[in-house]
Amino acid sequence: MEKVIFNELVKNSKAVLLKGQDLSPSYQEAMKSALGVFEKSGIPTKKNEDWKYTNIGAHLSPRFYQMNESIISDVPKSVLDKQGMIIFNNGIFNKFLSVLPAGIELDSLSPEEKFFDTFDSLNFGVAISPLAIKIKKNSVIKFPISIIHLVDDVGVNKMISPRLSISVEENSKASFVEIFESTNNDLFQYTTNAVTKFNLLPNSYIEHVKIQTEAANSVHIGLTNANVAANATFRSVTVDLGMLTARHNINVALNAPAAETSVHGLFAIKKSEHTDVFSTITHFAPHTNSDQLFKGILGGESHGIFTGKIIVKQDAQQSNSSQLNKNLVLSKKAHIDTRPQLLVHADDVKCSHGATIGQLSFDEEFYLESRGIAKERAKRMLCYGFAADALYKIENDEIRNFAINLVTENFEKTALID
Amino acid sequence: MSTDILNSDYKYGFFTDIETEEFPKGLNEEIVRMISAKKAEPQWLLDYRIKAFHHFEKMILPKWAKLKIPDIDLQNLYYYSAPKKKDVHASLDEIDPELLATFEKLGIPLNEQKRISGVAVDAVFDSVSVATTHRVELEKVGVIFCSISEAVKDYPDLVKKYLGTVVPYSDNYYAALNAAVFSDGSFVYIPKGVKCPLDLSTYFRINAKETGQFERTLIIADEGSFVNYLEGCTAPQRDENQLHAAIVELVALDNAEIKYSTVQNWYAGDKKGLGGIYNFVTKRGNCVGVNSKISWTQVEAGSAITWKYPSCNLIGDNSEGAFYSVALTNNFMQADTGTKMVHIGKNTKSTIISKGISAEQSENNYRGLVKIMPSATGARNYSQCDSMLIGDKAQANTFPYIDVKNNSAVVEHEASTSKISEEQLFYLQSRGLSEEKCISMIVNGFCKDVFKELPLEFSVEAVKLIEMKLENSIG
Repeated sequence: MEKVIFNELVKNSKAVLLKGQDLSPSYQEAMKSALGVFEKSGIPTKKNEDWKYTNIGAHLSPRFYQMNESIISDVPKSVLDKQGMIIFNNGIFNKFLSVLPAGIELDSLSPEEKFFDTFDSLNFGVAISPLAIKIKKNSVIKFPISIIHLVDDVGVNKMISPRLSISVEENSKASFVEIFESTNNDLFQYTTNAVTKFNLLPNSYIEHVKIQTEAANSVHIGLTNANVAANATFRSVTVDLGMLTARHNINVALNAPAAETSVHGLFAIKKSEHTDVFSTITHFAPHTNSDQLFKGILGGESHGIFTGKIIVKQDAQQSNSSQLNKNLVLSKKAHIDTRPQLLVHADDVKCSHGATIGQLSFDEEFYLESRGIAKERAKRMLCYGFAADALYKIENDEIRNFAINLVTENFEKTALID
Repeated sequence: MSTDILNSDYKYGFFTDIETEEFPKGLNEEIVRMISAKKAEPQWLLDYRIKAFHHFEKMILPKWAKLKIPDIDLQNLYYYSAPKKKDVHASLDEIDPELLATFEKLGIPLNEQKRISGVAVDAVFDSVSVATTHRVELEKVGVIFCSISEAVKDYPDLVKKYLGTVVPYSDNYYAALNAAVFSDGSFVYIPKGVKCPLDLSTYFRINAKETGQFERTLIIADEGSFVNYLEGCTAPQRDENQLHAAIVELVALDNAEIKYSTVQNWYAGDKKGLGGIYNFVTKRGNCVGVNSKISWTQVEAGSAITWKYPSCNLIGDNSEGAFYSVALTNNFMQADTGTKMVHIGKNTKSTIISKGISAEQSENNYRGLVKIMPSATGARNYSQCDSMLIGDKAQANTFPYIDVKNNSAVVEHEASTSKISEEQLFYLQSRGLSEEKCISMIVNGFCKDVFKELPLEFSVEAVKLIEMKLENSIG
């Protein structure tokens, strides 16, 4: 089955129409060689250590969405602030609806040769509407910028491939909220293979909050990649509310002294949902810091996976790194695999990691119940309390409130506990 | 004649020049049959070996460990080497005095009058067991302690019932190889309700050149019994690498407890990383019965490459598994070691304490799996793995896998990596201690949680061993 999907993907990717695109010939050449990379490496199987727990090939949609027109004419409801919004419909950049605030402008596209993994190369090879923007020197953007990936009925049964690269120049600062959603979460079935790359120059600051609320029967593969220069800070929070299969690749490289990152997140999944978080933080330079808190709530027969790699290279002396993964398992058949990994090649460093797996405590439930709170409600409160730790890592007030509301609403309307 | 090698940090690096009997080099069905014939084994064991050998031929080398293993030419090894004398010694008088002297030199006197502590020893020299002490005393309480070859002859039913039940020959590459060519090892059976009056111990010595040592240990603790088992190992100092692929199987029935301790000090190669033992060992214990307990304590201070994961299958309800480990690597040593705790029964508990010390250009990896099966209601695990780095070219990696399929389980894992802090050093030095002494004290404190699990004599030996190893590696 996977073999058939792979063959179709290869065939269809080669047939992606580039007519009418303003992509330079050298860029188009690079797309071709990226497809060559994909064809060579194939779809990872469970034998691949990095994909040990997720059979990603099983539910991929083998056809690509490649119409280059914007269908949606209304601003999506989830946009936080209309002063800054970047809108993708079915993976295609919607230039009519999008608004770039002062300080942010379109950047020239550059051909890429090095890819994070096979899906990054596939995305590069078929993303017919890639977007590159840059935040200009000394720009501080106060309001949150929304990046919305909206899939509607024409995207159904297709593979959606948005590609966005953001270059952040010196001394600039911005907060992004990137939301993946569809117009009909109950019915739609599709695959998202999204790539968002950040390149932070010295003294810049970026906060990136990714929120995955895609259609229930779909597959999401997403890469958040960041290169962090001296004195720059990249903060990332990933919130996943469950779907058929979601894979979040987060890859941060601390390339110069005093670069800093925090990679936090939360997933709350139920039924037979499957979420796989694969995070890599590499300390290349001395005096670099990283911090990670990832929380998982698992109900129903769901399966959650957390892999957190922290690599401290030999030159990265005097670096600090801490990682914590906590999981709350609510039902008998839920299943969690966690792999917190530390790879340390420098001696003068402080690194620690921890992982816990547990249940709601009877005492805590009893405390709330004895104060007249119904059992079901008490459980929700405790789950929310568990989740809040990760959500409060979001620094931007508006984004944080948005995320908190979304998660509370989700807890209210879905039967997380059964 | 024993020849000492001068200028060496490894005090067990001498070679005993003793006449040996060797089979031709190479690995084939003929060799497997020869080993079996030499030992006059029953047909079922030969069949087991042949089955394992054919399975081995189909297997490929495992590549998942974070180790750089040079190609090992399995055809260029001797699979059987034994001191030229009778296999079974009725009394110690019949043993070659050269052999006795060797073990004496290693600090393992086989002569019972000379023994200070109440420890019974089975001494394994290359492919065969040369002597087992205190046998009469143990037989009085019904404890069987002998070489596995003897056990095959004298207690075939027990061996047949348990051999390969914990580590089947199809388990992994080296386990299959061992099952085909294993030459000797120790066998222990503790009968119902007996608390073994002596600590039991096996001492492994590789002596001959270009030989692989493939021994097999099987320990069965029947209902309500208890045994404390120790294992030590050394090898001569040589420029070429030697292979050691052993299997240890433990079976604990209802209410039984097995404590297994190892101080592994195989030759680790010289300062340039030349020579040393490749230590590829499969150790596993099955807590079959209710309330049974198995604990592994290991001090890994030798071997050029260590690939070793002493594990527990917690099958019986309320059974307990524990793993305490100190792994020290220096020079160009590589270690990929850890444990697997598989919780199957209800209310099973496991504890993992792992301390890794990595000095110079060495690489020290912890790799562990905690698996809670859907049936393991109320399972509990606590893991802690700390690494200490000495020198800026050393590496310390941790690869824990936690796999939980039951929501009533509580699993905790924590790990840290750091170096000896300047403050700690300064504090001790300001009290008049030399730098070397300070470091050894700090390292000792770092390993204390594990050392305290070792029996007394081993604990002293372990402390000394770590001190000696770290002597010149202070960066």
